[in-house]
Amino acid sequence: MTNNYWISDTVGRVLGPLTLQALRDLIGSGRLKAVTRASRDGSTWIPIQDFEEVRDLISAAKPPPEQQQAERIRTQLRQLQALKTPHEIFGVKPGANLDELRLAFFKLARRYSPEHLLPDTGQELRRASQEMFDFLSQKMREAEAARPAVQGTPARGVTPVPLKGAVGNGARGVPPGSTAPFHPAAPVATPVRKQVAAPTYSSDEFVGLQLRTHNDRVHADIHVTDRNLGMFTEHRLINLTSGGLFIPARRPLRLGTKVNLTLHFEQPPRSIELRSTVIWEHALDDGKQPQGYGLGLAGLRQEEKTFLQEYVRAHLKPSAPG
Amino acid sequence: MADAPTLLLVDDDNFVRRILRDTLAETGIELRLLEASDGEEGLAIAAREQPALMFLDLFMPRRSGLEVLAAMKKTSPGTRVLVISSMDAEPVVEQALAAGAVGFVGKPFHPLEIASAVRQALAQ
Repeated sequence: MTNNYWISDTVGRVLGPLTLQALRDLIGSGRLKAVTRASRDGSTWIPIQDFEEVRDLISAAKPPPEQQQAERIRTQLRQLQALKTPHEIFGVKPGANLDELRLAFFKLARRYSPEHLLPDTGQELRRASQEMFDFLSQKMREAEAARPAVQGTPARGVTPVPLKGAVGNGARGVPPGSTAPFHPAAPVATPVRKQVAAPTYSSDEFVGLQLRTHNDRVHADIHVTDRNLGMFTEHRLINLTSGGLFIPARRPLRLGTKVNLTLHFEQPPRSIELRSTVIWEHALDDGKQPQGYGLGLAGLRQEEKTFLQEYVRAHLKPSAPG
Repeated sequence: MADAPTLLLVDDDNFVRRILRDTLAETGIELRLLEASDGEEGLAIAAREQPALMFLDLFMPRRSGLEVLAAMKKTSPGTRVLVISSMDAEPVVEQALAAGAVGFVGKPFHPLEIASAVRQALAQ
């Protein structure tokens, strides 16, 4: 196979010569989201989507039309409605405790949360997402009401995920029978923890991670750049909205590991120090989930959260691999 | 320190270079460090300094790491090159190794990976 493909991104970085297989693997693995152009000789560049050889992968990366997504959600909803118990619906073992149910609910429901839909989402998809979200919220409320809510110890050291209206001692915040939906992306304080980590997801390119240990705690320094902003946005569970970030790694930190995290920003210059916990880990290279770990951010002040949200909004472009 | 082997860091990300510097300092391995922020500069410094070891990113301005690897065979054949990149799809790793790299470390890396890779590369 000849090495005759070069790629480049918006900041002028180049990679090549690559074999077609290497190029297809990189696109297929999602590492080239920021790449805009490609070349056969390293000097004449055209938009990467103009290459017939990779067009199928680039098209496949695009989400299906909204109508199709809405139909898929409704099909899933019908399947879930046919199930009898919250444990079946949320896909946890029959003996799972309330915290495990909450975590499963969080993972399942947040993708349908109205807060997570893009502003330009069409009515049909928005409606289908809302139906699914309402159904899941209702089932979680029923589970809360039916079981004595004890802040149990979750499996494998997972930090309990507080849900607005479903935290601490029972369905505090949402009266039994209420039809108000839960808001998994908006954790609220519990009596035992002020701000608790929430599940979080990944970037196609991540640079600048330093881990070190001191006093039995892991410390991590992350330099936030336009190229790794995806750590706040790309994982469907572990992201800024849910109060975390995702770090791709082939050997993720173990669940429950406490990490003192320092985020460094350049424009504007600033550092934010946070306590965090590994609330998600996926070590398998199974193609189903990105390999890596998610850090749930604890003690994030409102001002810091606003700064992070504005920073991401201002700097988020097609994220650049390295 | 005069006899310490020279290591050239070639990465366009200043922060990554800093992390690598800090990581190498913690390993206790005596090294003379040089840096370059793109492939072209890296190639020029390598030709001039003939470092014992090079850490090479792949996705960089002006000249990609794979092009640097190919050119290094002629200009700095004695330099052992360790690729450090997030472009760690299997065919790319194979290409880099076939082009002469002595190893490949994916980003983000763990400091222990770097320390181990340096020791192995210098022992070869």
